[in-house]
Amino acid sequence: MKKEWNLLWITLIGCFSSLPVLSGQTYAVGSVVEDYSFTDFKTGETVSLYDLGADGGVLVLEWYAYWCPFCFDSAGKVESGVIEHYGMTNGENNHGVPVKHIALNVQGGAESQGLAFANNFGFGTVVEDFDRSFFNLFSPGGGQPLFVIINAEANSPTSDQWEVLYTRLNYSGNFDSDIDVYLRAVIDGVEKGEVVDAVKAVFPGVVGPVEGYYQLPWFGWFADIDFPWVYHTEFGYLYLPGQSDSVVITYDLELGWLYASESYYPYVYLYSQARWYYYQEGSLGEWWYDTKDKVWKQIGDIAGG
Amino acid sequence: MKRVMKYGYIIAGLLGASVLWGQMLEMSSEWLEAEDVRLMTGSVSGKMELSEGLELRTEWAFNSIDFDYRPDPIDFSQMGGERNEENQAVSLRLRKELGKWRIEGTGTYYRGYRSLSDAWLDEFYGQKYGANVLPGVHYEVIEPRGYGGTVSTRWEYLKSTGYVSLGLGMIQDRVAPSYEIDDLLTSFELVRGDQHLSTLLAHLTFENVVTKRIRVRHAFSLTDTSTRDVRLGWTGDLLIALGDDWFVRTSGSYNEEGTTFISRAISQSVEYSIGGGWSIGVRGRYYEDTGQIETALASSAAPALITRELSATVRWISEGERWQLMLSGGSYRTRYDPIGLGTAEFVHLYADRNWTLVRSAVTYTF
Repeated sequence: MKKEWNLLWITLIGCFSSLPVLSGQTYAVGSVVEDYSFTDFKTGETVSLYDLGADGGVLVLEWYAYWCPFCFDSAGKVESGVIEHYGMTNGENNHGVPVKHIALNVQGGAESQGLAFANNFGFGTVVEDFDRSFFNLFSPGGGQPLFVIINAEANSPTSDQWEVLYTRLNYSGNFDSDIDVYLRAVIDGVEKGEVVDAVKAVFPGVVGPVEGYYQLPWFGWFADIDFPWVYHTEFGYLYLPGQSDSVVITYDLELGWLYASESYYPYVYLYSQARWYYYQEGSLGEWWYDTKDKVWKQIGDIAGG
Repeated sequence: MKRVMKYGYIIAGLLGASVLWGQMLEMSSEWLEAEDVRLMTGSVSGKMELSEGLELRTEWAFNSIDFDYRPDPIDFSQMGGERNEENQAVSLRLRKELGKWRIEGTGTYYRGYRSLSDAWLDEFYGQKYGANVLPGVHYEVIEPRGYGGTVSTRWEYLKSTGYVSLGLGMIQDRVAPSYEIDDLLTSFELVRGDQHLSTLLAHLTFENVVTKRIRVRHAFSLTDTSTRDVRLGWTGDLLIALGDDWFVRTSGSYNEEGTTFISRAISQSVEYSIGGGWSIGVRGRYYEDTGQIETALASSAAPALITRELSATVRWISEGERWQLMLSGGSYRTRYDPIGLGTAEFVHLYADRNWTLVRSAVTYTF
């Protein structure tokens, strides 16, 4: 019983320490940022931080208010030193990592002014942070502008995905070195992440891809649609979270969840029927031998009931 | 045209009063022009004796401020353009001589912006916050105005050689306020600085004829304006007559407010009488301060300033001293320290400028 209580405490402590909002902690350099939901200032659509970095890259976050003189000064520098600078290198840093500038508008109620500011300084993606709830995770004491750089690149050798690489509150400007010098040093330090084949990560023994198709020698050919969704050359669309090279637990759009293994295939266990079937591809299509009723069935017979 | 007519009536009234009952009429003007700013000041004053030992002096002053409003180039939300502001002031002074004592009272009323800085900042705040989209206060168009009065007394404690005077005064100003964003951590709101300023003044002045050719004057002042620290000041003048034709005046001043603001100035003028009522002179003045004290909220405070003025003067006094004419021209340079944090938007207000300076005065004594 004591062991269970210890486990409970460890779990609770782990949960709260990973929630900066609840614990009152803030993100600092080295923290891993959790996903956060925003409203796109230009379109009104909901977008998340992880959506914005879904394709990897370096996220350069710049909070601004249209009336803020420091924001004016810094935005001009960031426009030329970051947005336009990386625009000339195909939007990538010197390691080929995409650089994405994201502006966060902290002043609500002034749509035209906020938009004019964004357009004037070449902001592409602008999201709302009117109540500064996301801002406060980095700088609870207020102030602006705020700059944060986050690595969205998975498997980068230089930092973890969603790790905070740089934060800077306020823009001293004027007599200080230009902000782009600081930002670019961090941005250019991020190296490209190793490309991980999602299919091979689950099925290390898979063959391919050959023209987009993978082969599990005992299960057949399938294409990665949006893994774990795949298109199987015989079964059609499957949800294939997989277990190992030799065991497949998959969801067929018509048959539901089914189990197959290298040892028993083409025997397949259908969870919805709670029985084993023997699968055979014939000239008239798929045939399934019901091992309980001892009859061959076509897929419509099984799915229909 | 309407405005010119109105001024015309006032001037005509003053002239008429001075001619009918007056003793002296004086008109003066000052013109300061830089590349983007023109400041003009004119005044007409008359003096008349109401009864024995009781003198009334009236003055009407007109001040014009023309400038090209140039916002910080990076602030795309601001529009450049021309702005003209006019200020008028009237003042009355009543003076009574009572043997060794003199009692004096003045009253002044004005309308309009009193300085380039006030008008420029109002243009800035109007453009910046005039859309009134922020929570908090809203920007308001305000016509600055104010009134004030002083009472003073002078005591001749040494006959014709030693004077001491003490004065007290007050000024009530309604000013165009400054605006600032207040950070509430989860939102921002616009807040406004004080629109009403109340000032109390006091001065203690000593004037002495040290020798037949040397006069000195020391004035100590105290100024207490609401929202600001008390300002203490000293002004000193030393006037020396070198022979019958040369006159040398040295002046200095020192002011401090709180622990941060200090201003110092020194000026030197030399005048030579070339005969026939004509005299010529040169004047140089140097001023420096540590930066403006903000009346309310931070950020528009001027950085430290140094000014230098060099001018030449021609003066003519008619036989019998009924007419006096003065014409002065020169150069006036203002140099600010680099703008500080948060004041980049005021870069064109606190810009270095080279001014052309012309002053003139005409005095007629009846």
